Parts: sequence; C-alpha cells; structure tokens
Amino acid sequence: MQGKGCLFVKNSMFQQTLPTSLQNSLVTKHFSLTSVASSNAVVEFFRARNFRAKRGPFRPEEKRGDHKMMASTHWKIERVLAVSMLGVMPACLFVQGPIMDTLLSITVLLHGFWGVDGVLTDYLEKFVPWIHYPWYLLTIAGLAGLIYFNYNDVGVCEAIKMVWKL
Amino acid sequence: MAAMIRASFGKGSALLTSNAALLSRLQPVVVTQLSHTSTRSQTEDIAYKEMEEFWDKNRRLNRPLSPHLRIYNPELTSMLSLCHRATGIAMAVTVPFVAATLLGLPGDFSSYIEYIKDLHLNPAILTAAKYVLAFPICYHYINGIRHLAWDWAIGFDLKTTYQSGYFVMALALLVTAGFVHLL
Repeated sequence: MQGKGCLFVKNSMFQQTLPTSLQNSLVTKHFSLTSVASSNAVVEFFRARNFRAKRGPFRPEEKRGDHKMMASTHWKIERVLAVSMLGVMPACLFVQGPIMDTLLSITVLLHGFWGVDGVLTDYLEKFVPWIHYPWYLLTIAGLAGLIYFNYNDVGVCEAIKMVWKL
Repeated sequence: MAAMIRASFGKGSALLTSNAALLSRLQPVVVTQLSHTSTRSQTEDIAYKEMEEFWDKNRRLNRPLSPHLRIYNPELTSMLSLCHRATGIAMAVTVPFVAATLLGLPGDFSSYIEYIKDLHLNPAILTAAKYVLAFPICYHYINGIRHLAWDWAIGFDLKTTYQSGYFVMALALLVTAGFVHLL
C-alpha cells in the first residue's frame, strides 16, 4: 500500500499487530459483503430504483457548473443583497410607489432564488441533477408575473395594503 | 532545474505554472497531469481518486449510513436554523408561484380582494391568515440579521448563540403580533 501513492490504509498500526484472522473478523463484523436489505419501506423503494445520491467528493468545477465566477464572489454578492434588504424592508413601510414596487420585487426574487438554489445544491442536486432548471423557470415566471403586476395592476405595495385592510 | 521541478510538486503547481514557459524551452520534462486539471497538484488528484473509490466501495458493499437526523435531540440552534430555512423556502416558492398564477388568471387584483370580502369570513380566520403571512417574513428578517452577524464572525460562541436565539424568536413573535393587530 505504501509505495503506490495510496493515501488511505485499511488497518491502523495497532490493528496490523493483531493476528490476521482477528483483523479479518474485525472487518467483517462491521460490514456485510452481501446486500443488506433494511426494513424501512421508503429506503427500499428508492434503493430498488437505483436512486443513488452522488455523495462526492465534488471538485470545485463540478459544483460550479458552467459559469466562471468564484464561489466566494457569489457569496459576497449574496451578502451585499441581504444587507441591502435590511434597509429596503422597513423602508417599504414608509415609502410606497412604483420604485419601491420594483425594488421589492427584484430583491425578494433574487434573494429567494439564490437561497433556494443553495438548498437545491446542498441537498437535492445529488439525487436529481436537473433540479435547477424547474426552479429557474419558476423564478422567471414569477419575475414576469411581478413585472406585469407592478405595471398593469396595483403593484405589490398597494396589494399588501389591500390584503392587510381585509 | 530538476530540483526546482521536484520542489514545486511538493508546494502545489504555482511554481510549475509560473515556470512553464521557462521549462518548455529547456530539456523535455515529463509532467504527468490529468487533462482537465491544469493547476491542481498531483496529490490532490490522487486524493480525489481515492475518495471516489472509497464511495464506490461503499455503494458496492451497500454499507449502511450512520444515523444522523434520528439521533440528535432538537436543540434551539438547529430548530431556529430549520425555521429560518423553512420560512425562506416557503416565501421564495410562494411569491413567484402567486405572481405567475395572477399573471395567468383573469381579472385584476381588486376583483380577488372583493371576492374574499364577499366570502364574509370569520375575522378570526383572517387574523390567523395574517399571522401566517407576517410571521415568516418577520422571523426570517430578524434571524437574517443574526446570520449576517455570524458572517462577520460576531456572536458565534454557544452562549451568545443561545441568547440571541431566544431574543430573535421572542422579537419575531412580538413584531408579528404588532403587524397583525396594530397595522
């Protein structure tokens, strides 16, 4: 093992001092070499359909996808947006109008998009690799809806006021 | 030159790439690098390969996963974090969904308000609905400040986390009640 550039060894130094039969039995006690079926129906449902998660390790290029921006830069932009929302949210209580409508729509949609995108990347992408596309579509549809709403209808600030007056 | 190459392999490929132009003009140098990694060192490639083989073996042997969610007690830290995520996802999904639906449905927004008014719902139901609408945004905003503080490495120790956690939950409920009953 040592001369092949292998970084992971099977047994610890202590375990290697034990007799071979004991070393082998230590390994087989923990793991079974045949398929182990669990009694959990949900787990078995997914296992039967080979619904495997790709559990990594993930190279940075794999997680980044097609774009070239560094992850830390994206993170910084997310925080800048979040800090800006700290100001926008209370402001919409005092100042309404078409500018505030646009500001609210864009910040909420962008923040929500990146947030859910993060959740998908963390948990769902390993099971369903194409999950980002439906979310992207929903966000675009939402943006279209909000632009229409702010232009042709009362606008989000007025709409919230109307709902609250109910 | 050979010593420089040997040294650069130990420290990563920064030295290698910066001297690449120089090296290419000298005697032919055998540099084994995988095609898609021009800057990553050989050691990292070996590590990735070993880790992939480890997970392939896990899958092949059908090894069970260690229990994680089942064995931990719900703590304030994890429950508040879960609440933050849940409210965030709820709002982030509802806003585009409602906006897209309103885009497709006939009539303008006022007609839908009139429709709800004509239902003559019990005021308690409307108040409850307002709580449901107001709480996610209040809680997510106030806990968001807590999260941003952590991003600047403020208030990270456990005691402060617990104190700020209780404070955030109490304040969120208070502000929600204020929005519902006072506005």
